[in-house]
Amino acid sequence: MKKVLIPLDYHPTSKEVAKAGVELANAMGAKACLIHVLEDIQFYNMSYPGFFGADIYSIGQFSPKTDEESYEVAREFLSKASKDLNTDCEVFVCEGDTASAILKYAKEWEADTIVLGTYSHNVLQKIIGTVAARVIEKSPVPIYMVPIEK
Amino acid sequence: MKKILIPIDYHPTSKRVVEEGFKLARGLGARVCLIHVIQDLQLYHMSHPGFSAYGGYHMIRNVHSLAEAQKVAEKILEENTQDSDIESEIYISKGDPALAILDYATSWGADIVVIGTHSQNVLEKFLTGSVATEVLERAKIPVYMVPVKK
Repeated sequence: MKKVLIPLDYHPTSKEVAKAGVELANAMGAKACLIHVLEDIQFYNMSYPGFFGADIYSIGQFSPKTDEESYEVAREFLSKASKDLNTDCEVFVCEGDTASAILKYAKEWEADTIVLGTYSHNVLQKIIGTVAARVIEKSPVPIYMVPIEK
Repeated sequence: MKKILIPIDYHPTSKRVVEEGFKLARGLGARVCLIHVIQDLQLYHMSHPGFSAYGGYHMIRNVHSLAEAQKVAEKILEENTQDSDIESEIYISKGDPALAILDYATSWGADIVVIGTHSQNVLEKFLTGSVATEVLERAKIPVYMVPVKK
């Protein structure tokens, strides 16, 4: 096994998932890649034309640079995470539907495993996020599920 | 040294789960334990008392005996440990599969449990409950989920 793909979001539990994933990769001498998916970038800038005499509704300034900025922020986040984990991970940022984008890149990068977290709400029950559930459903490669204790 | 617990049953998909488990073990330089849980032994035996002219019915099928389970596990182990120096062992247990697997994971000090996901539909599994789901829900250690396509 040579490649471990670790999806990260801004949730604090991501850190533990990433740590476990990097540990796995290091133990095997495998490459790790941190991936973050930007979902629905268009919502970061909303603008509706005015109607019935109302003003134009607009949040933020539309700028063709928005995409580039979002990518930059995400890339910086992943690089910092990589540094924080004391490891030399690859980083990858893309946009789209999170689960599909993760699976697509897993295929492209030829990941041997994908690392995901399960969040325990109490001792007897763990909740698997919808993104994780969809990745598990569709993934052709094994998933390394990391239990996160609250 | 890391320890990987791989539950097996007689389902043909066990083969792929075991293979992936050993691949992981090879990568990690870990040792492996194959566990098989014998469930509800009484279901394998049928016995009806006689009445009137009916002499009764008594069938004992020892298909699922301890000895056979041990034999099957040994065979699987043999197939998968050829050309490798992976340390491996077998453990046969009785009772509720998920609980028995989790119990032994704790007492053996497993670092990772490997399980197969048969279903394409994870949500369905979460509703109906299965051994894999229960293990995933309750495990305190990472669970390596191997997709097994039908």
